[in-house]
Amino acid sequence: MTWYKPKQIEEVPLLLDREGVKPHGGGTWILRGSLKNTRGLIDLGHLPLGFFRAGKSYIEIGPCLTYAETVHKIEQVDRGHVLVKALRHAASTPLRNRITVGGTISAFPAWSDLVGPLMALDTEVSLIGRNEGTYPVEEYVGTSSLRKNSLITSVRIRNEKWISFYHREIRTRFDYPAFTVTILMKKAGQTVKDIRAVVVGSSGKYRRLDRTEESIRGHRTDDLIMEEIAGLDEIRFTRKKGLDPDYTGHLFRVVLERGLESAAGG
Amino acid sequence: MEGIFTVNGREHTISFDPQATLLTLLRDNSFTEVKEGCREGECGACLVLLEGRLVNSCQVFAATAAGKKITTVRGIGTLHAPHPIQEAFAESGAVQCGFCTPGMVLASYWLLEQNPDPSDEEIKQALDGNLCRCTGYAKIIDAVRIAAGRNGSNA
Amino acid sequence: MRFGSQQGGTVRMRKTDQVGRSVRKVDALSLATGTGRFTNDFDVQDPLWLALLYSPHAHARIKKIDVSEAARMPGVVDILHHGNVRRVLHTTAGQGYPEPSPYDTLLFDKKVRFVGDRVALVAAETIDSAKRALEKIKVEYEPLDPLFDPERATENGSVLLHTEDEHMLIPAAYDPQKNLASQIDMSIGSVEKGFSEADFIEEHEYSVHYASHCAMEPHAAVARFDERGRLVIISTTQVPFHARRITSMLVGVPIRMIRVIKPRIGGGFGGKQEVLIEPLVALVAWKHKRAAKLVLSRQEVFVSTRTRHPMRIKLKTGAKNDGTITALELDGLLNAGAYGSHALTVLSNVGSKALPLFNKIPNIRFFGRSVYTSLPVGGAYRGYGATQAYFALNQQIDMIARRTGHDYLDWVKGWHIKAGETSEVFRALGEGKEGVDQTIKSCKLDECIDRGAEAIEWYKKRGKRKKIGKDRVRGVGAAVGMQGSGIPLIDMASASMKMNEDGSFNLYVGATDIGTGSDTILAQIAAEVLAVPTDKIIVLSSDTDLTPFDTGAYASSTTYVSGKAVEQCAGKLRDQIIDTAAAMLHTEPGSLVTERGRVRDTGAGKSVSYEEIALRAFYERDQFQPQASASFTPTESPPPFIAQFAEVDVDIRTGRVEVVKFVSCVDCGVPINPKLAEGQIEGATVNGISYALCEDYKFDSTGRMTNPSFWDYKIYTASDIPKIVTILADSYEESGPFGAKSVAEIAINGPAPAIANAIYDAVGIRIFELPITPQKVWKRLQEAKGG
Repeated sequence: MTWYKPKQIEEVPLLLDREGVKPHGGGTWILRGSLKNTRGLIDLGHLPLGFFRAGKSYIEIGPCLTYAETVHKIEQVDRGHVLVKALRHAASTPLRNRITVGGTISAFPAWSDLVGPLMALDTEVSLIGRNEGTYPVEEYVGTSSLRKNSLITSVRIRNEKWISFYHREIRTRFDYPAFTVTILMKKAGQTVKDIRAVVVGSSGKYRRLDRTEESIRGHRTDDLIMEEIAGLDEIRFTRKKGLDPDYTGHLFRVVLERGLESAAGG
Repeated sequence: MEGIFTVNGREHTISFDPQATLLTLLRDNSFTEVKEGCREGECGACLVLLEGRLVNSCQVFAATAAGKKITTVRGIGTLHAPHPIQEAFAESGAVQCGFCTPGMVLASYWLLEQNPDPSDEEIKQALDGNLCRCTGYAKIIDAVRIAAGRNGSNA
Repeated sequence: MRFGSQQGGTVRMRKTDQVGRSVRKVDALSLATGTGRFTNDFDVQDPLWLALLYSPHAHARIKKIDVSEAARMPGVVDILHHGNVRRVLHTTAGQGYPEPSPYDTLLFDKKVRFVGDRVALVAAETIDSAKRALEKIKVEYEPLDPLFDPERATENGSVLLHTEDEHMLIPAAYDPQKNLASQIDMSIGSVEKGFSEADFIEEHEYSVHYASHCAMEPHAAVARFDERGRLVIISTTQVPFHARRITSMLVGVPIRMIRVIKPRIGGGFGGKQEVLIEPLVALVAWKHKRAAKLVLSRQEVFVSTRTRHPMRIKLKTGAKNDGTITALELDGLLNAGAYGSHALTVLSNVGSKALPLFNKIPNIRFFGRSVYTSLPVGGAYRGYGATQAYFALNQQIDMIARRTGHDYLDWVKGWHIKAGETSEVFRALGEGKEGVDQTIKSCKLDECIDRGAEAIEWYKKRGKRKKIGKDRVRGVGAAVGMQGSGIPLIDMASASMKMNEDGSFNLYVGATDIGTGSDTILAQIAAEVLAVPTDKIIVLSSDTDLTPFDTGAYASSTTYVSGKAVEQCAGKLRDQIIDTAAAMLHTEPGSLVTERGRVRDTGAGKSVSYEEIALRAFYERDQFQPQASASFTPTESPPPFIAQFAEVDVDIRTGRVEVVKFVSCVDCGVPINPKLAEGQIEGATVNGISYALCEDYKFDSTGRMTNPSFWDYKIYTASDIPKIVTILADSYEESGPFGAKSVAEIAINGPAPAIANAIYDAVGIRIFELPITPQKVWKRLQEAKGG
């Protein structure tokens, strides 16, 4: 297996086109799998990919920024930001020093703490390589061809203030969630001006709860009746981690209800 | 392949397999104080400081650590000149079998470097990647509290 | 420190200097600074690396093993399997000889009996070449029907797992023709009569599940030759002497040619009370006259070493309306897994550690069976049968107390065994033979109950169902228990000591410190006898060449049994010191006392130091080496007692149970080292809580364990623990060294039943099956609602 240590971003696309060569930003995903078919790894550590730029309209995150660094930087922008809530307890303290934003997006495991909030934030990712361009994160994670021979060079979210709620369904503190729920809300007085809701870990790996969002948008927060909220019955779960699908489904509804209450009261 | 690794302040030129982890490299080159408990980044026995940052050495490719500074538990204190954290662990009953201890000491060291006066909740969070089956963690948390106190903050 | 004992009305106060002090563990700083060495930390020159091939089938015959391609791979030196290894039936259980476990195991068999059973071994120049060769070994299996349900194991027509010449060494019930690894049928009085006298019967089925010890250090062993050609084995063993004996038997090398050394060990909890890998490294080393090394992966530890025995307990009690239990019948089915290691002894401890606690029950029947299944193998695990039993018993007591209008604690206080009392169960249940009668000399369970109840604010919280936030309800529950201190008339420990010129002493003990701190407390005991500070005692332990025999670290025996051997040995050495001092001071030994490293003549007032005594003994006159040795076998097993309390919050919408506070109050006799005793209690408690709530072995339909990793087998981290309170009762056991009993196991038994009882207190539902997952609680809550 060969290590490539490019000093310039421009060197990367050519390396990505080689058979069996993968980019490595220091995260744990590659070590999780077998290295048998890996011919080469591109050490991204010498490239300027660990940046964080908070502008008036956008926040740009470099793909090699670790979870710990991301939490630290975003906290300075907004202490209650959903990414702070989602990443602060993800994995474990030492792992948060290695797991990268870009690595997680490109791997997108069903237990991810990062991708749900990014979807709720309408995140865009920029790529170089075969699929050079900028894509909504949902499109990127949903299209396997986009992930081939390409590298994420930037992750962009709007710099907006949302009321946020984040839940990870775990057994012990250092655990990989059975599912996560992200809720973002903007209120105008007592009315829900805008809402985003994403579940990750359900059947089909994730769902943007757009029907749910629709049925809540514009309503008063003291008028939210769980039974009338749409789109929840479509959310299914498979049997995993010893949990029966009907229990997990019930759990999801409870979490969502509590999340909406929390966001509505926030 | 070959690389220069600065471990506990001394440079070592080491040959290693491209696929080797930092854990394997360290243990194969006499740094057996770094322990192997699971090889999956789940137990924390293999923690080291890489460029001052707490990491699971079993989750780091040796190749990406070449040219960098690595600190093991022996790098923060020795038997003859122990760090206050190591003293606190020994004194509090926080060491039973000792297998998790190097990792726990480093995690505590990293915590106190960033947060010299942590709350109990902050201590527990900082140790969330370190498994221990012997102590039930109670006396380990005591040790970190004491170490924080000895470093001059409110005991 | 002062400790009292009551004997015939007089209170005997003993003041101690080293015992009862939280002396720093002798290896604590070494471990905290990374100098302490574990098995895999020792340099070995040019070893052969071992890798094991495991069965993918739960039950199959090996029709053919073709190692030709694997053997040709670079670096491969040898491949062992049933075709080229001597067939020696044995048990892997680290127990005294003759072992009370069936001889049903081979190093490599023609048959595999669980997914993860051993098939072959590769020895190669590097670990990578060994692992690559594993993949090239071609095995042809003839799959057989698996057996996963213990309830069906003994039925006619069930597939049989052991069909050759497997046998027990001791006369005990064993019938592999019925997949029966052990059977116990014990009766006291007549339960039929007892049930007929009862006002009501409670009959419930409980089930306790698989668990892994999760010692942080995986099993490892290294075998190498010393300069004279003797085999030296360094291994992660709790039982170095048993390891030597069993390895000798399996490899065909005489015991005198084998040395077993236990270095620092990264936890055991019973998982390393098993002679599993030492024979493999020894076999390869002896055959090739080269060092050999085997380090198991975490996955191998989960699947292919040992586990807690899962068990189903049917508990039937008859009681009167005033709370008197008239009869108790325990029908237990222990799932031994594919081999019967500890199958008899864990089963018998289910009865022998739980039933004597309530010694006033006149009619008891304990019917237990251990059965083979084609699943991972049960072995020794902290608690050792008591854990299983107390999950059932403590819930049943809670039910009986409630039904008869008693507070659980009051009921227990009225019915538990007390000092001066005995139980017929002691004599009735031994480990494969008759048990040993004993009378309880120390029991401070009432104090444990009172102090624990105060710490958890029992009376303030019990039955209140306080609402926490919108959806959570709080409850408190308790559990009590007793364990043992060693195995009477069977365990033997030995110690030897010698004196040095500076008044220090070497202490050699076979006793095995697996992280518990036994090196330290044994040094404290010796120091106490010899009237010196603990750091004047240099401990060397668990080396079969240098230290005398000890059965090893199990049965909570080290403090009580090895401690007594040390106490006696130090006493003999003290006598020699006094005799020499008498000669030096020209007086009688009777007028001499030892204090602070000196011997003083109470009459004339003159004194002489230990250094002066040693110098005289070594160099000046009537020269001799002050040294002594002693062995000790206990005639009783004085139980420690415990009361544990759980405060839980139950989320009624999700079923999630959070333990908010957990209190343990223990009567371990005199704690030789209070901090170390607390450490044992705290570690066992957190293990017990995580076992109760989230540890779980998951299997697929082929019998394969699907979560052999900390990723999906969850144990508590520091950020999960509740507020933990540990209290040591004020107790004194006169048969123990300086009043000590034991503390290593007992605290693991209470968390599951205390939590189950607390859940009932909070939300009125009972969980009879472990683990207590949110899903189970939620389902029971739904059922209770009627929907």
